Amino acid sequence: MSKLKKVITVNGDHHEVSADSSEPLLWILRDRLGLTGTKYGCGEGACGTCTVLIDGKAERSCLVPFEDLEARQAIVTIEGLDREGELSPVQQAFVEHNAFACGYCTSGMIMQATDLLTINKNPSRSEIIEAMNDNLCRCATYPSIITAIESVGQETGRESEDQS
Amino acid sequence: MKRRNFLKLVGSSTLAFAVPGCSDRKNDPLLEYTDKELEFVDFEILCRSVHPWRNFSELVLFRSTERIEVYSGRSELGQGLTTVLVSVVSQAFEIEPDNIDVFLANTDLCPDDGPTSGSAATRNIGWAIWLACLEIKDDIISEGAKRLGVDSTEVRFLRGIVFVEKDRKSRISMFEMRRDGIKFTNPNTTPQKVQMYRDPGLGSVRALEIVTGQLKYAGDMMVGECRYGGFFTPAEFRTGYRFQPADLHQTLAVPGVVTAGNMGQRGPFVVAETFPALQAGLAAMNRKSIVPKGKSLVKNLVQVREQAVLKKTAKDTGDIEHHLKSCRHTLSETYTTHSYNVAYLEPQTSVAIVTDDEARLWDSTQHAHRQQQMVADATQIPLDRVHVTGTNVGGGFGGKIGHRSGAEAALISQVTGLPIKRLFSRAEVFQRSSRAKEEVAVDLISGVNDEGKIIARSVDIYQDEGHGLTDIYKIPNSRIRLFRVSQGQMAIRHATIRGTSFTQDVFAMESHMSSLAHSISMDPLEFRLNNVRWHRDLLHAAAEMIDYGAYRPPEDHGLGMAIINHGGRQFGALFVEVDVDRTTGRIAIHRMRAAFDIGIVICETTATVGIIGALIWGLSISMKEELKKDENRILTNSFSGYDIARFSDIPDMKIKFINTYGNGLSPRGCGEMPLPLVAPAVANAVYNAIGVRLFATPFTPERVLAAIRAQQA
Repeated sequence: MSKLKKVITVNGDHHEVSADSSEPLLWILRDRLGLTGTKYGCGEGACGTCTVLIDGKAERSCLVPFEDLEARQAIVTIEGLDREGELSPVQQAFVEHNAFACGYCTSGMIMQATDLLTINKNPSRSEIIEAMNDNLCRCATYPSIITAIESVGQETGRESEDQS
Repeated sequence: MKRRNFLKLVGSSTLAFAVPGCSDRKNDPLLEYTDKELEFVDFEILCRSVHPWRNFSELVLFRSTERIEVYSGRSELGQGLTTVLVSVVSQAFEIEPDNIDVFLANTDLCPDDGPTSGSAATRNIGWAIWLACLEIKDDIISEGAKRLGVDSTEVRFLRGIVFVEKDRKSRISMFEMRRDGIKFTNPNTTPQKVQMYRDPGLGSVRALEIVTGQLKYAGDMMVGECRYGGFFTPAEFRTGYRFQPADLHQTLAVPGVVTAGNMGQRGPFVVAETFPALQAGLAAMNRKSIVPKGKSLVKNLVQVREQAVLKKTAKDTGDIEHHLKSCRHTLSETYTTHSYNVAYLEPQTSVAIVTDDEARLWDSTQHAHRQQQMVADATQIPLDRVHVTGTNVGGGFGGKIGHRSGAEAALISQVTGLPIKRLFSRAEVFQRSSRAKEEVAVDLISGVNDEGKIIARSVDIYQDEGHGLTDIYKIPNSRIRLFRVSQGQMAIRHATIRGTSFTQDVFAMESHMSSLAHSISMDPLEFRLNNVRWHRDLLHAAAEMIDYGAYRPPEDHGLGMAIINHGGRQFGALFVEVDVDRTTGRIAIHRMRAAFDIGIVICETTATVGIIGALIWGLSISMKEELKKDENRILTNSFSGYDIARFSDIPDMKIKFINTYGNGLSPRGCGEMPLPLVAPAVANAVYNAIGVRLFATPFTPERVLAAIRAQQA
């Protein structure tokens, strides 16, 4: 391990961070930047609780070492998902469908779903299951999470039809 | 007397309330009633309401704030306690939920009203607060009417104000009454006084905080200010080892390690700047510090059944042996279940700051006051100088009652003088948390007459502790015995994960019921209806949901069912449809249909999420999860080797609430009860699909294939 000092971009803000080269992004977000919405679940990428967006793509922050990050990469955490106080469509759908219980996995679920809905505006149920399948929820709120994601897709689909 | 001390003195759940802001002025009959008139003096205790048959006390306080505050020592685990309490108070006083604050699991503010367990938070605290609200509201209305010179039937109560229906200018606020010394009667309210109470459609009151990542868990406290601390905890921890002082040179050389030391039989500890550095420091520990005591544990319960001793006879009526001999049809079976872990996503977490004579702790606990006691015992700091704040809990399921991270954080903080965060690694959750179910074996023998009535039944349960069986069937000669296997012989401690061992017992009992039905060529539904004490409406409702009578199974498909009586309070019936791949042994669950009687459903949204989640938990432990262990260790140490239910496992699920039992007026809880239904319902469906009985969980493809082959042989 060696110490590195560099700038990373999180939720649109630039941060100069000094950390061990191997320190996972998860702990940089939580302990150095105070962005605790991203949670520790397993430390090996198996539960999805720590999912964030890097350049729009869902990544397990516990598996991304500090040395692999570049300033030009846009890292987005759950704290950066809303726009000027407005919940994102996925956040809003999770509220409307009560798609959580203890809430510990919810940040990761929302980030993963955001990635899916960026790529696929109106995913089918099986596409949702496939995309979300490696995110675990021990309270097993899976059915309401699927419903929430479906509702965003259907809304997006309706908007697309209206525009065309 | 300081408020905090007073609360400790009365040892009660506490409710504080005041007039909230008006949310709907347009339709407000008291529109002209100015805010100034709603002001009131700063005082505290208005009324104490005792609810004797629940053995809980509630205190209602008025405070100089325009909000209502509710206090309970219980924790928010995601079961929706906060939402339930907000819903209850909101409905009782006809006020907006936004005006209510709920304070939970804080040893400085809240009374110790027991651990958050047994699906009892809503049943006890929610119900008690509801009754307290109603008692006080009744008194307010009576007193208001008296002062206004009218009969109490002529007044209405709205947001803390009593007014005459026909003359709305004639009114009085409860705060004005208090100034003049209102006397509350504190009646012993009976359930019959209470009207049916239903969900106002309230979603989780924590929703916005959750979806924006703002909800704080224990690990989110003191971020950046504290160090990570941990003990060297090998997987052999529970298997008879002791520690000798460790050589710490290698650990101290790890970058990021701040300090390390030896703490007697608690073992060596490490403090580091970051969690990864802590893990590296612990990994560098010299294993020579572990000294085996030479004791080797047994591999499973079945191996030591012969040594089990009778712990308790839970039920013994009639003459079992005589009637078993006289029955034309008897059936003897043995069922066994496996070990699994609580596997919550949030590991046990505590943050501690300990000075010379005071300790403060933030903790992911289901019982803040027990953590307080554990910290006091460990640090020898007086109890009243230990302050515990129970944070939001990222899943508890019974596994965060009396967990050790709090005392460990406090001890390391006490020794080092640093604020310490003790976060269990995932491996520690699996291997050290002691939060796992041990194996259970159940022997059953039953005798049935020609009419399909069970005449005699004997049930012997072998496990290391815990017993939660409540019989469902009316059997004239019945015996249930619990045999205990010494914990010292088992690899893991039997924990109360989502209940005691009734999950295991119900698998045996309900599988046996269908087996019995088949043994006398009777339909399993008809057989249950023939023998059940209650639940007939539940069984009919669930059967109708899955269209039981008209079901024509495709090849290798089948329906299975199970029913449960959880402590005489919560009842459920589940039907599932499965198909079985005979070549791979894979079971696919297509449909789950279930009906539940849980009394009043205060928040249907929350209850539905909880019940669906519990059914999926049942699916998960029945089909997938299994702790691997050998004679000395728990081998499972990560989610990579421990598969829990995920999106792709979820069948088509529908549930329904009905009220079939009792007066139905009180909430009775629902968190644990649905879970045990799944294993027997699936096993019974598999039998109906391919004619093979599954006697052991989990129903992995390998185990199903083995059962198929065993039958063919």
